[in-house]
Amino acid sequence: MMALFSGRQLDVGYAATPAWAQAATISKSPSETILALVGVDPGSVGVRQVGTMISFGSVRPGFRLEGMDDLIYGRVWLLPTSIALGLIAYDQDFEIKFWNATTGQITLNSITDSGLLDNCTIAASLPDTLEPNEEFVFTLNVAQEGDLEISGDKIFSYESTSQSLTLTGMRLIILNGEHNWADVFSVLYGFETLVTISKKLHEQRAQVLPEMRRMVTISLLERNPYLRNYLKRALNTVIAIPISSEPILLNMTGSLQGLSSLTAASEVEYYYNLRHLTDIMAIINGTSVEVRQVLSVSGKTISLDKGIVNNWNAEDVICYPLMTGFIEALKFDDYTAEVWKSNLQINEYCYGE
Amino acid sequence: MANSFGGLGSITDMWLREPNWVKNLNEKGVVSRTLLQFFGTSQILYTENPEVPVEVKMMFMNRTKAQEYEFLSFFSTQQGRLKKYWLPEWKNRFKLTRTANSGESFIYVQNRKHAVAFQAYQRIYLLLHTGEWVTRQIASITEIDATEEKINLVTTLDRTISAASVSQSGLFLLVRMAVEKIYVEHETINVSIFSIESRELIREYP
Repeated sequence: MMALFSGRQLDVGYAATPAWAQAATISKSPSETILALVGVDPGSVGVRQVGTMISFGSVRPGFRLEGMDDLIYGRVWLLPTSIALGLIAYDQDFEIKFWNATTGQITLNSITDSGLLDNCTIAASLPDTLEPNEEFVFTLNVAQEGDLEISGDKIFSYESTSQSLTLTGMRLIILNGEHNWADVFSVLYGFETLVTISKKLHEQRAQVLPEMRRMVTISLLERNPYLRNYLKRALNTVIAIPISSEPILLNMTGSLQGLSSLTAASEVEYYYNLRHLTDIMAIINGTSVEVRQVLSVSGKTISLDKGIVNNWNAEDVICYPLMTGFIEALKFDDYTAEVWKSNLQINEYCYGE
Repeated sequence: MANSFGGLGSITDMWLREPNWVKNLNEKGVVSRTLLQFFGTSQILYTENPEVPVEVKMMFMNRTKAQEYEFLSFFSTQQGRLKKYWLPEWKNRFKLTRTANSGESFIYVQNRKHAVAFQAYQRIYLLLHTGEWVTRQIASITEIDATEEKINLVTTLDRTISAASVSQSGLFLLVRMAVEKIYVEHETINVSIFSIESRELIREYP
């Protein structure tokens, strides 16, 4: 018998060839995720997440096969045990389950950090006791703001042992410098098609890339050393830049905190990048940036995935649709010991789901 | 009256914005011939096609975000070089010499030897001073005398058109994008310029 946990899915291979009979359906798990047998070919039995739990055992007296119960019960589960966060563009929440599948009471004493886990938080009031079969469901929040690299463990300590939740990922670097309008801000919109032409000028055309890809050229004239450092750090990774031709000023007053719907003063109904090519938007207040996912744009109303976290006044912020991309080349022209200029060419980074 | 787009078949995509004449409009003919020549010998020229498709390059300016949105939406529907659309050539090629009457299927124009270059797939457009477009397929062109040619149309005109009411008249080209990547250069947030290169599809006229 072997068992493998990958994320929240349990896969089990059963190597014996038992003479077995299906028993009655039972319900032992307190969680919504219950397991069931599928595929009853002799020699192998697969298990996947469905909705009911079926137990099985030998009908031969005095002989007991190891059952599913033995796999699941008698231990404490932390689900999942690792999360690959990928590129973090905005605040994200993840559900973490801590399930006492033993027959005794246990006490979860603490959840501590090990490694680089800036602004990766789990709200919990500990220590707390779990009865047999009881489950805690926590929310892991990974904030968009924080150190660039995330690599570490959340250690769940209970009784005299512990289990770890491993987190790995990278925060998206957001370029919040203003474009220098002394130069042209250009966006290259491109498709890819294949065209073959015969001598008689008949053509066959095929679509290679059905979605537009962009390349942005932005000019920066800055005296800001932190921006220069961020650019160097971002040269070999992914960066998000504002589409400077589509600034969004708000037709609102007061605090934006908690609001998930914004009313624009700008002509956002004609902002093509915002409406069709981008799903994230930067809310910039000075040198601080908050990123939100854009769900829809209807007229001058922009709907966000969830409320704005920062307590910023609407009059103080400017918003831009963001494009994630990689820097094609990085060159600085230093006008003085402090003032520098850079023309950045950034190719859109397209990655799968 | 409204536009009268006749003779265009089922292809409805068209780009009708006037180019920005600050930059020259470029047109070139597409070569389709084979030259046979061995080292030190005479030459033999094989003409592959009597038709000459054109490639045109036009620069346009967006003055508002709405115009920019209009262009990007259009470009998106074309999917690079994949699809096709109608494009006026923006040349004053035909000059009416007589009033064209409603119900007639011909117009008289100044003789500029249009008959020499006539191909059966060609479409004509008349852009009126009212901003309305009239398009028709050309059936044939005959030379009347040294000063006048008669253009026979496949379908009749739906209005009477005097020479003075025509702002411009030229060929209505069926084209695809010749390039699949287009720069939009923003001089300000609202004002931007871009160029479209189009290639005529002489085998795909409906």
